[in-house]
Amino acid sequence: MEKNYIITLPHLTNEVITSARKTKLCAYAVAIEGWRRGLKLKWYTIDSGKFDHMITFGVNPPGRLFSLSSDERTHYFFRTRGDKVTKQAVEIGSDKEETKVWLTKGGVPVPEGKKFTEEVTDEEILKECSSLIFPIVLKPTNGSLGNGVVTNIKDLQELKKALIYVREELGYPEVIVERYIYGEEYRVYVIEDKVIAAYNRLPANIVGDGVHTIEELIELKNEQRRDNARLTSCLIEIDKEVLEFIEASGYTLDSIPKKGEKIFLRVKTNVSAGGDPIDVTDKLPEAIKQIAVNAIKAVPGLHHGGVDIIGDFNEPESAVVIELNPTAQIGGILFPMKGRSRDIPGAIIDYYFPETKGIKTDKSKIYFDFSTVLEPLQNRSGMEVEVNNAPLGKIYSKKYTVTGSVRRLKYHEWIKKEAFNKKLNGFVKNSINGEIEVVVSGVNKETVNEFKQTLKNSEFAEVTKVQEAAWHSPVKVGFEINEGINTTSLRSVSSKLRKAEKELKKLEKDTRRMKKNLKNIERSRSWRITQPLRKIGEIFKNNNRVNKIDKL
Amino acid sequence: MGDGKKWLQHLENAVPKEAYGYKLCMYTIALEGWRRGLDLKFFNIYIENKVTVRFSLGSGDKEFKFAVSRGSIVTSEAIRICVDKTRTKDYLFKAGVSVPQGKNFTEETSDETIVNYSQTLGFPLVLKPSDGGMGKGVIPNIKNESEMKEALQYVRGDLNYKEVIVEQYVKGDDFRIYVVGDRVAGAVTRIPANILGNGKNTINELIKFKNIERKKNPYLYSRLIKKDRELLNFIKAAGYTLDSVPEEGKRIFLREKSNVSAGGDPVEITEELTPEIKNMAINAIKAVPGLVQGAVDMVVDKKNNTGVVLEINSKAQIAAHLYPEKGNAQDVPAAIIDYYFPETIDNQGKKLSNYYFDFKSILSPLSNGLMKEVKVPPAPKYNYPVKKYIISGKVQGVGYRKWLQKKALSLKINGYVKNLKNGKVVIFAAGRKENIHTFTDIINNQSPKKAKVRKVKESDGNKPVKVGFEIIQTEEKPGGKWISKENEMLRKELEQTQKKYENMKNSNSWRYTVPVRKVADLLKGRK
Repeated sequence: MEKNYIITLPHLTNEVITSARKTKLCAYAVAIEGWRRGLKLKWYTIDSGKFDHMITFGVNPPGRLFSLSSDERTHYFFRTRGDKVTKQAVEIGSDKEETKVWLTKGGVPVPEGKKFTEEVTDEEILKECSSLIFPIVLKPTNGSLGNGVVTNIKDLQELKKALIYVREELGYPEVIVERYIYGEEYRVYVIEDKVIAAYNRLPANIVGDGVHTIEELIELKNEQRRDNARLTSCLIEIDKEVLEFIEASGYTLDSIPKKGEKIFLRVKTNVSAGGDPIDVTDKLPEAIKQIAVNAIKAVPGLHHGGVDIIGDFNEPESAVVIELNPTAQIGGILFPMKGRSRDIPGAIIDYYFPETKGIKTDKSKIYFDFSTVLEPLQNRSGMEVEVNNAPLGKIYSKKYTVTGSVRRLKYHEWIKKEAFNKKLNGFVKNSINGEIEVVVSGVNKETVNEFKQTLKNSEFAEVTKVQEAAWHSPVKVGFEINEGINTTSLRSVSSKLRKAEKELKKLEKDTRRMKKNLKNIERSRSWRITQPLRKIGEIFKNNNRVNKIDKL
Repeated sequence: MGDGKKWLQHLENAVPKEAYGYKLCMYTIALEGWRRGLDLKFFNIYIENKVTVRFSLGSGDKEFKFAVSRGSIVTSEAIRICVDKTRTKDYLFKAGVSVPQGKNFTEETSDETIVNYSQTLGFPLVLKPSDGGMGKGVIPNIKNESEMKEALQYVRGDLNYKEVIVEQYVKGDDFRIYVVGDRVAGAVTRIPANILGNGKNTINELIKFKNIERKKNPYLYSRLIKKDRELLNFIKAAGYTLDSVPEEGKRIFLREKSNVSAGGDPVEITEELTPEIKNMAINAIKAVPGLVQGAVDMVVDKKNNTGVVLEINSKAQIAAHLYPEKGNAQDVPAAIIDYYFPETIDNQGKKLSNYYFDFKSILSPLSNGLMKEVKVPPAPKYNYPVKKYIISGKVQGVGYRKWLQKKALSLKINGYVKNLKNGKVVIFAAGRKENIHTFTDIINNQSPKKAKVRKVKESDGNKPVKVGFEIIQTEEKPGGKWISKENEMLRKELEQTQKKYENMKNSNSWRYTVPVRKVADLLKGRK
C-alpha cells in the first residue's frame, strides 16, 4: 500500500473542516479565509433572494451560498465562484459545445468533435462517426462531474454500446463525440492571468499486497480515503462500471493481485468517482499554463475557474482544453493524495479583496462551528445568518483544568460571561473526576494568562486547584458550555455516541491490560508461595480489629 | 385549580421551551410581528461586555429594534428619565399625575438629615434607592424614627445604595399597568404564594400540586414555591405546619412577600380597572416626553377610585399579562405591534396562528457569540390548515422519517414527523393545498424500500406547526444509553481491578518477596 499521509494547509486541518463535506467544503474553505481576514461573513438560503443575479444549482441543504463584505463592498459567492463571474460566462461553461466555440474563437486548442441533438438516432451517429480516427470519447453535452463520460472508445462496436449506456441508461440524449487525446487529464485553477494550482487525477486504483483480494483492497483504500477530509465523501464504489472494467483486464473482485501491482478500477478520473488527486503545480510546463490562462481569457466575464486539460508533459504543445468549470471544486487540490496543498481560497480572496492581502492573521487558530451556523438555515428558521467577527491578530490559547466544587452550571455561565468580558473565545467542558476543562483564547496574551486567576474568583464555585496547559488546537469563535448530551439534536446525540464508543474501546483495552497484570501477579510463583504468609497476616489484622472492638 | 384563568389561544403550543421565562417578551412580540408578515431579525449586542440577544421588526424601509418589550420609538432621553426616579416624579408632578410626596438625597447627605426630613414629612414612609430596579432595596411601611434609622443603615450601608428617596407610604393595591400609546394593554397585580385547601391533602402536598401547576406556566415554570425557613415561620405563625390539612375552600397564604419569584401569583386585572385609573396610567406615560410605552407602577385605593404613580419601567416584562394565574390574559404583544406597525392591524397575527418558528437554533448560537445576526424567513402567506397522519406498519427503524422529511421539504410543507411508542409514526403537516394533496398521495402510496405501510389514518391537526420540517427525536437513542451504561460498568470494573492491583503491589508479602523474585528472574534469564 502507498504510505497513508494527509497533506493539508496548516490552517485547514481536518478538525476545522469537520462539518464541511463535498461542495460545502469548497464554500467553507473560501468563506473562512475571508472571515479570518476580518471580512463580514453571511450565509444564505436561496429564498433570501440575494442570489437572483447569479446562476446557482444544488443549493440545498444550505451551506453553499455566502457573502463577504468589507466596509466598502460586498461580494456574493456560490461555492468557489464569486459574483465577478458573469451569468453569461457560467452559461457558456456549463455547455460543452458552447465552451468549445468560445475557446476556438480565443485560439485555444480543443479536441475536434461533433455534437448530436436528441433527435439524431444512434444509427445516424454511428454512420457519421465511421469516418473518424479512433479512439474517441463520448460525453453528454450538459453532464457534470464526469458523469456519463466514456473514454477510449476503440471502434464502432464499442461506440454503439457507449451510446446505449449514455443516452438511454443515464438519460443524456444530447451527446458529443470527440477525438481521444493521448495523455493525462489535468485540472488547472486559474485566476485572471495566473495559474494558482494544478492537479492530476488518477482513476480509482488499488495496489496489490499479495494477500488481500481486490474487494478487500478497495475497502482498505477507502479506509485511507476516510482519513482525508475531502476524500472521505468520495469513496470508491463497486458498481457496474468497476466490475466491467476489472473484468476486462482479467480480474474479479476475489482476485489477489501481486505485491506492488497497481490496478486501475475505472477510466474516469474524477475524484468523486474514487480518483486520486495528485498535486502537479510545480511540474506543469509553461506551455500548458499558457493554454489554461488563455482558456479563462477566451470566455468573457469568466475571470477565474477550473480548466480541464488533456496533454502530455513531454509534448505540452499538443495539449487541449476539454472543459471549463466556473464553479470548480477545489477539495481535491486542498487535500491531495500526493504533493502539496495549494491555497486557492487565499488566491480567490486576494482577487476579490486585494486590500486584505497584507492583513496579518493567525489563520490556523480560529474557526467557527459550521453546522451550528447552518442549522437555522436548514430548519427554515433563518434565511440569512451572520457569523460573529473573527479576532484579528496572533491568537494565544490556554487550557485550564479546574478542580474543586466546580460542576455547577451557574459557575460555567459565569465563566462564559467573564470570557466575553475579556474578549476571549473558547469553551468549558465537564471532564472526568469532577473536574472541568476551560479553554480560552484571544489576541491578548496577558488576558489569556490572567484567566487562570479569574477562574478562582467566582462565588459559584470552590476552586481548589487550577492547572494550566498549552493548547495548540484551533478554537471556535464564541464560547460554548458543554454540559452533556443535547438530546434534541440528532447530530449531538450521534457525535456523543461515537465518543462514547471510542471511550468504551479504550476502557475495554485498559481493563484487559489491568486484568492481565493482575493475573500475572496472581500466577507468579512468589505470590503463590507467600499465600500462607498472607493468610497469617490477615489473621493478625483481624485480631487487631477484635482487640480494638474489645477496647471500646 | 379553582382560580379562573384564560390564556391566549394563538400562543397555545406555539411557545417553545427555549422561550420560557424572561425570553417570553422577546419571543411573543417577535412572533406577533412575524405572523403579521413583518421582517424579523435576531442579533446580539455587547452591553457592558455581556452578550445580549435583541430583535428587530421591519417592513419596507421601516425598521424598529426592540429591547425586551421596548421598541426604538422610545427615545434614549425618555429611558434616562425613567431610570432616575426623582426625574420621573418631577415630570409626573408637572403633568398633574399624583405621586407620593418625598425627596431625593444624594450620597453626601447624612442619615441624620434624612431622619429629620422624615419627621417633617410624617410616617408611614418608604425608603428606596434612587436607581435600583426590580424592587431591590425598597423598604415599605416605615412607621417611626428608629425603623427609619435601621432602614437607612440597611439600604445605604449593607446594600450600598448611597443615593436614596424618602416618600410617603400609600396604602392600597399594587398595580402594574402596561400602556402603549393611549391604550392600556394590560394590568397585573400579585398575590403572595398561597394554596387552596381541599380538606384532604396536607399543606406540603398542596404546595407540591401547586408547583406542578406552575411548571406548566411558561412564565412561572422556574419560579416555584420554595419551602424555606421564611415560609415555615410564616405558616407556623398562622398556626399551621406542613402536615396540616386545611379545610376545603380555605386559602392559606404562605408568605408576606408577593413577588412572583418568591412564589407569588400574577393576577390579570385589566378588565377590572376603572376609566379613571386607566387614564392616570396613560397620562403617566404621556408625561414623559418620548416614552410611548411602558409599565406604570401604581398604588390604587379601590374604594375611593384614586391612586398614585410610584415609578415607570420603560423596559418592562410583559409575560405576566400573557400567563396570569388568575384572570384573562391580555394580548400586550399585539398592542405593541399595533402601535409600531398600524398598517398591519388588519392582518391580525391571530389569523396566522398555525405557524411559529424554530427559536432554539437561533438563540443559542447568538448567545454563544458564534453568530451575530439571523434573519428569519417570512411567515407563510396563508394559514393553511394543519393535517395529522398516523402511519402504522413497519415504519420505525427503516428510514421512514428521513425519507418523509425529504419529501416534505421538497414540497415546502411545514410540520414534523415523530415515532410513537406503539410503533406507529405520527406526522403533522401544513402547506399549500395542492402540495398537501401530493403529500397525502405520497404517504398513502409510497414508502422507502425497507418500510411497509399498512394503514394511514388522516385527521385535522388542530395545533400550530413550526416552520420547516423536522424529525422529532422522541428520546435519546437506545444505543446511547446502552453504551453509557456499559461504559459505567466497565469503568467500575477497571477501578476495582486497579485497586486490586495496587493492593497487591503494596501488599507486604509481595514487597518482602522482591529479592526472591529478582533471583527467580535471573534464573529464568539464564535458562
